[in-house]
Amino acid sequence: MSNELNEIINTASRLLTNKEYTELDSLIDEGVLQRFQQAVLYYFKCIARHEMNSDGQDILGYVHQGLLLNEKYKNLLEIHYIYTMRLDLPECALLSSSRLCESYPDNYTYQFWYAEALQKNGAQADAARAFSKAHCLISILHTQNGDLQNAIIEIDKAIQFDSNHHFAAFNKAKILYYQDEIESAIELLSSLQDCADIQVDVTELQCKIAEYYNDADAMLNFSHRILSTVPDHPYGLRAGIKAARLRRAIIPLFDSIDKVLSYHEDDIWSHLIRFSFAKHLADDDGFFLASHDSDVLYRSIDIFMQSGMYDAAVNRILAFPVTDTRFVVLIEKSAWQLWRYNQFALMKDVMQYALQQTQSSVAFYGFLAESVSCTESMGKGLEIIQQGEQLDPYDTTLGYFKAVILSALWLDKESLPIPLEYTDTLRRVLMEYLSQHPHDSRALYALAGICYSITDYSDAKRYIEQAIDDGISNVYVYYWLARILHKCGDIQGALEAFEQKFEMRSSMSQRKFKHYLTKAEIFADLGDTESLQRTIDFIEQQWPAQLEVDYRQQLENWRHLLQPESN
Amino acid sequence: METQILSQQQLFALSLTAPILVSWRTPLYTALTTGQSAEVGDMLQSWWDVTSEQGLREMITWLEKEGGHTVYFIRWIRKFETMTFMQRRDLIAHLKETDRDEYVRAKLVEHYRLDLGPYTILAFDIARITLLVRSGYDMGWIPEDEAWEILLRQADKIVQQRMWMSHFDYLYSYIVGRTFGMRKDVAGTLESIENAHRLITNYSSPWLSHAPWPTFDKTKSAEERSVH
Repeated sequence: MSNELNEIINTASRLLTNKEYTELDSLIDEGVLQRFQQAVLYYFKCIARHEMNSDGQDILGYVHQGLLLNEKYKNLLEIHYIYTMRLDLPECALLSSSRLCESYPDNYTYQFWYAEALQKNGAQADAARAFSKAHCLISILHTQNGDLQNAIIEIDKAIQFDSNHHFAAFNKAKILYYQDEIESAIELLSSLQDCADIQVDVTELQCKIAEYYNDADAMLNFSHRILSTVPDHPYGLRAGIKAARLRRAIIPLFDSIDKVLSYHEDDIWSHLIRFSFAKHLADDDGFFLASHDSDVLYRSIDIFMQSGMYDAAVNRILAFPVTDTRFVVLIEKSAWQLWRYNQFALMKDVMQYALQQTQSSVAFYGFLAESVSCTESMGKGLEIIQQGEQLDPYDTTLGYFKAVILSALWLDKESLPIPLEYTDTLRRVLMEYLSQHPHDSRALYALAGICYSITDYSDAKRYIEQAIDDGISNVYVYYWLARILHKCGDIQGALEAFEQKFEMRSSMSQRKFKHYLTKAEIFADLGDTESLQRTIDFIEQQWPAQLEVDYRQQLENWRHLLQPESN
Repeated sequence: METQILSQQQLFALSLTAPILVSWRTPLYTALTTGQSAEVGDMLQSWWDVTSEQGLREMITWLEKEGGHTVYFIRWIRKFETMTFMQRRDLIAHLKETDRDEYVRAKLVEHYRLDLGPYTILAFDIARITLLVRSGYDMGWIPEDEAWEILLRQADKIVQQRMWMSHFDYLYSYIVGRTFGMRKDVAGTLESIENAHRLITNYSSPWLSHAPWPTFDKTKSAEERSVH
């Protein structure tokens, strides 16, 4: 509530309490009031007249004036209803009570008022329906407060008023279900099955009752019925998972989880249940039957990967029959997953195993090369790429990982630039890959590196920013962002990239060193001698040995820059 | 504080904070302290706008007595109880165009209300009460005895009223509550799930290592029911 309105209400309330009615009346004429503020004052004016036992018509006059200013003002509508009923003006009472019901559909008092107004207007059938709805609303309140006994009493009254009130009957079935009076609930629900307006809800509750009884067949039956009308119905879909769980049937379970998530990718229950099942499977606790069947192995690997249970996933990969026609597909799919989840050591284990079993896929060399490059050395990774190239130099996956490794090598050690004859090919391979996987942050990062190596800084900037947007986790990326921004002339952006984003890690001493060198370079470009001095001092203090070897001359140049300032 | 061996009930009460603490660096579930004493003050201020003992106590009382977001959730349920399925869908479609926050809330209520049971998203409030109490203890605003009293009251409530039958159900209620309270979009919801799932899958989780869900004297468990 605005302060101004609050003040008006406080003043009016004070005047009312002190019975200073004349002052209260004059408030309306004071100053420039907004329409709603004026309506509020008319309300107080009505209350004052009510306290003074004024004539009802007089009060209604003020109510009308207030409602002209705000036709939905609840307090005035209430007074309007009360006085029109007192003055035996049921037609007018109908107007205010229906407006109140419209604005507050779950308020049972207004519903009663509406019913009474209808009754006084002689609309008996409508009045019965309105009374029924009012009792239904009270029943809902009782249900939510856990008072099921009174909920039933009220719902019965609702049904007495209107035997065709489907909602009331449906709510009664729900209360009976909550009360564990299941048979009565079932009976009532069967009688409601043909009511088109509540059919989905009725079937949903029938399905819930089947769940209560652990009756998988009935659940599936009701679930199909719901889904035939509403294919994305969340409970109807989840019922499929619940039925499969009851049957401990893994494949239908996987299918039904996939189905729910295909409609509702953020369905919390389905995600949690998938994690829970993954744990049962990983523990091999006997919850599932036939959990070593090859179909099950094949499907369960996904569920382990998605649940972060990589060891369990790899165990299943190693147990998967090599003779199965899906072996190569499974290995490639799993390798991509492990790669995306940064599980390079496990990826290496899988690829070494796979290559021992079969050499039918040249892509295997690409995966192995990348995993070796991440766990051992990039040089070794490139050697494996070459082995693969001897079998098929045009394999897409192999080409992709070659690009990734070479650009990583370049990004990591600038002293080893990407051979110029490769850059066009690598750029093309990465662009092709990105057309299929536009949000692969590692490919974007690699492409940024290649662009930087050929001094195409604007593309380098575009790709590295996309890589960051797509969540690349490599902290070194910010070092590169700063360098690229520096080359693009965005000095402030470069400094911000350093200051805000680059995390200093003790294990990254060499990178830290490079980071400070670049920072010094930027300060030198900026002519910020104070910061340059501070940065050089820090470098000298932290990495004296490094400076002796490679960077002494650079430091001397900077000191030269500082000379005139220090003089 | 002197190191002491905690009862099973105390450990259970502490573990009710887990859905929130799971995303912290070094969560502690075997002592009253959150183990994050240095950051607790900042957390209280930035998450809750709480900067004083009085503010903290008011927040705890409000969550306990009124039920935070649960009240709004139930309000939506009440509204939906008088509408047909198609009317609910139409309303949600209308809100999608007109009021994004209410759309997220209405959609969540429609999506989960039947599955969540009568205690709806109360776990979100309970987890926050337990975190606030432990934080209050860390700040020196709530004495140890009183902190345990409030924590155990939450645990008792869950057991006495059989609010949820497992950690899974509690976590489910919590995540729906968090999504509802913070009006999370799809990405935000998935992030919450990603953070929390370790509690039911990883053996280092307090729920799987030392604070099992209490066994209730169920009058009528699902297993005991016969197929009709």
